[in-house]
Amino acid sequence: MFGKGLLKGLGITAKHTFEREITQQYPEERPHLQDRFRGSLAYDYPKCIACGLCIKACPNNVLTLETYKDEGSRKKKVAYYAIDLQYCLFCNLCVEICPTATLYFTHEFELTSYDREGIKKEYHRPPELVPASKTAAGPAEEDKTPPGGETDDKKVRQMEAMKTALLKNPAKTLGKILPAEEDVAIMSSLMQEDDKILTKLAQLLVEDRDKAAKVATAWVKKGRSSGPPPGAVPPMADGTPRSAAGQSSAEETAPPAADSREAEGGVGLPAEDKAPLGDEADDKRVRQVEALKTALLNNPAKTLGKILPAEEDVVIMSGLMKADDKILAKLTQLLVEDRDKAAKVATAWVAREKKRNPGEGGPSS
Amino acid sequence: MIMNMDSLVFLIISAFTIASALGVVLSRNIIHSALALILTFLGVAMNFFDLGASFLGLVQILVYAGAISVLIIFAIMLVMKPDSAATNPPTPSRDTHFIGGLLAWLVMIGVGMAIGLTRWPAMASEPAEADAVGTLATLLLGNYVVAFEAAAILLLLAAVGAIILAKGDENP
Amino acid sequence: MENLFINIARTLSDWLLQLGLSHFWTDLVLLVVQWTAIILIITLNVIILVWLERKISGFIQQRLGPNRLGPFGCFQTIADTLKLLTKEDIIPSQTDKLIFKTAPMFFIIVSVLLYAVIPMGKDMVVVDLNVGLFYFISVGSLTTIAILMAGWSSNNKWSLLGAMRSVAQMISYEIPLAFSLLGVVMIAGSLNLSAIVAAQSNIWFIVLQPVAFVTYFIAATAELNRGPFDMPEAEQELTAGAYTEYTGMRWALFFLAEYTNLVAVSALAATLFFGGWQGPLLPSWMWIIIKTYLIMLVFMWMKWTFPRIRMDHLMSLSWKVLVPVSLINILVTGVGIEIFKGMGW
Repeated sequence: MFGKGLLKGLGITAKHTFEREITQQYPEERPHLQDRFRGSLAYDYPKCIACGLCIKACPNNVLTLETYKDEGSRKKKVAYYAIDLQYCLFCNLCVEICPTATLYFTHEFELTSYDREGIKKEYHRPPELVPASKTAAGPAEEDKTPPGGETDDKKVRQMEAMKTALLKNPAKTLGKILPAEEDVAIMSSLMQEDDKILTKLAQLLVEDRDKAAKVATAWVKKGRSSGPPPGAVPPMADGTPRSAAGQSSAEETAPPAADSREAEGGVGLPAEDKAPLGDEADDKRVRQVEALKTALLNNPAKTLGKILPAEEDVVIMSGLMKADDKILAKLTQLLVEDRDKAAKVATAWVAREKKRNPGEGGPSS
Repeated sequence: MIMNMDSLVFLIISAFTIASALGVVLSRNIIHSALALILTFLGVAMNFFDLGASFLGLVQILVYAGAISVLIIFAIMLVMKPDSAATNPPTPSRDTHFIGGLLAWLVMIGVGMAIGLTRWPAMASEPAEADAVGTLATLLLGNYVVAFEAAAILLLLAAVGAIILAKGDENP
Repeated sequence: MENLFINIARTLSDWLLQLGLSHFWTDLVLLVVQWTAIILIITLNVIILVWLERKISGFIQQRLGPNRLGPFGCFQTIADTLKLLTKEDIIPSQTDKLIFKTAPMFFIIVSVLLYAVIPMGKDMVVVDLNVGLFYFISVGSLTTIAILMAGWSSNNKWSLLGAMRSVAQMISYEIPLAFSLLGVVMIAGSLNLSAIVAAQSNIWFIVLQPVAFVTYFIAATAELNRGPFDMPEAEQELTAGAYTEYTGMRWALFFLAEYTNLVAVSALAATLFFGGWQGPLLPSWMWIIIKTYLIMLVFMWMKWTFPRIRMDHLMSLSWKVLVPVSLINILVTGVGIEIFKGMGW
């Protein structure tokens, strides 16, 4: 009352007049930024696992992620990553959600540029990775693809050490990922036979132990089904195709290729194991189909016996195959793709043939 | 020099005053008229200064020229039209022109006769004392205090009346 | 030092007389020189004042203020002035051209005229008018008309609103302003500013008339259209009030006139309440400059402290508080003078 408040206000301003100015002479004087200051959003390429969580978290669609997969691999890798900072509201959601701390805020805040594109931050695949994955002709090359850029040497050294360990003391090393002792034996023999398997396993062990365990289990099962390795259990007719094939990147490196087995004389119907392969294995399948055809013609009884229970049906079927090349091709294809369907179709064909020539049953063989 | 400096100054000031007075009458724009009126009053004030009556001159400025701003505001608020020339139209008919002119001449002749017929006392031999304010104050608050107070009460009543009129009747 | 300017003037007039000019022409030339000096000082002073105002507002808000051009940014206003001088002069098409052009001139002339009666030092006054204080008030009241001219001729609603506010405010505050000064006049027994200064040789009137000083200070702030009473400009609501349509040098003239008025009002306050040019050691003209600047600092301090007051509060402050207070002050002063006279002082 009576100007008391006014005097108080005057006192405050008088006090401020002689206090230190808080102005920062910006270009000359750099501001002190707190640790958690959110400047420009940055991206650490090697750390990214291409999970896409940041893309989902971003409320403004600031982030762009393009991925690729190496041939035969299901592991996504980053082909291109972009941060369009002009739309960024620095909400921190992407940084919070990033599982590998790939995204982080820097203290850089001078983000102006002369055009809209200038404010966009883009990250491309390092050039040494691009040709390696694009020119990859065979599956073998993929395995050499290092997952990260700068940590290459380290990984290579780790892998070498792991390889040595695997060869010298397979029981101990493999025991960690394969519980059963016989599995360990199979695995170690596989490794000794094929250097590729060894490399792959070592790499997987270095990178991701769980995955290594799964892949190894798959190989062991396959090794059992394919028979030849020493000490292997008797081959199981239908193996465990799906689980084995389902394991990423295990397929190409698996040593017992279907065609080689067929060439040896054919044991069971191993080609079926290959059925659910991706498109990239096309010519391989062609070779399989050819091998199966030969097998069907040379030894119909054995091959057809798997899908046709009755012996006379097998005889009729083999007769049909020999008579008609189309039937042969169709059956072979079906056998490669889907065994059950092949059985059904074969049964149907036989039934139709029986109807057509009820009395006749004498096959040429 | 036929004309001495005082007469020259007087002539200049008078010419200025009359010219701006003509401006008041002849201007079609009411705002211009009001502003010209300020100049007229300033001219009159200058005449007062020239005659050595600085206090009266200042009163002239303060009371008349200063109050013109209020007049302008009234002009703007009461008669404002988009075209300001339309706010101050010339008198429409010839008859009113005639009557107005006649009245003006009558007044002028009357004032002239009054001035001419009055026997003015001879100028005081000694010049007016420097502190004219004191003399004026003694006269106003001494000899003529009743008239002064009456004028003051009149003005006060006018102010109060204006406020009452502006506020309106609260219990209609 | 004390008689520096007086000696300069005397030398000049002696020289002119030696050249064979009559006293009248010598006085005329001297008057022209004096006015030129005043205008020059005012203009240069405004450059310093604008810089000071910006610096002080900066310090109050814990900023640095202008600091780029020259040491402590002291050349900033010079650069601004040059910019204003070279700016394009735009006169909007629908304005009342004559009034639009005369308004700033009228304003600056009135502001400069105020300096005629202020004693700037011992025996240093252009016109030692015996009604100096009254002159100051009545000429000062003409600034209202200048603002009204500017506001009306701009043909812009903001300008007109600003002008209207300005008139309402200035007419209301002229009354407490004049009344508050009456107390001083009663004690000094004169309207002559030199006499009022002389009357303070023993004691400053701030001691005898504190209420008058406070009333004067508030009313003067309102008369100057300065914050917290800057309703006529109120840039947040009225862009720039009456000056909205003005550009370049015409606008600069308004700016100049406002600061000129600030100096004049401060100088008057120093003269009436703080003993004018009287002071020890330093020459008299130095003292009036120091006092004027200190009072201006308080004006600036207030402007940058208080928020703008609402229009109706502004009016009620004038009519319901300041006018009664200043009237009572006159009464008390009159009674007091009689009592002291009766006691034989």
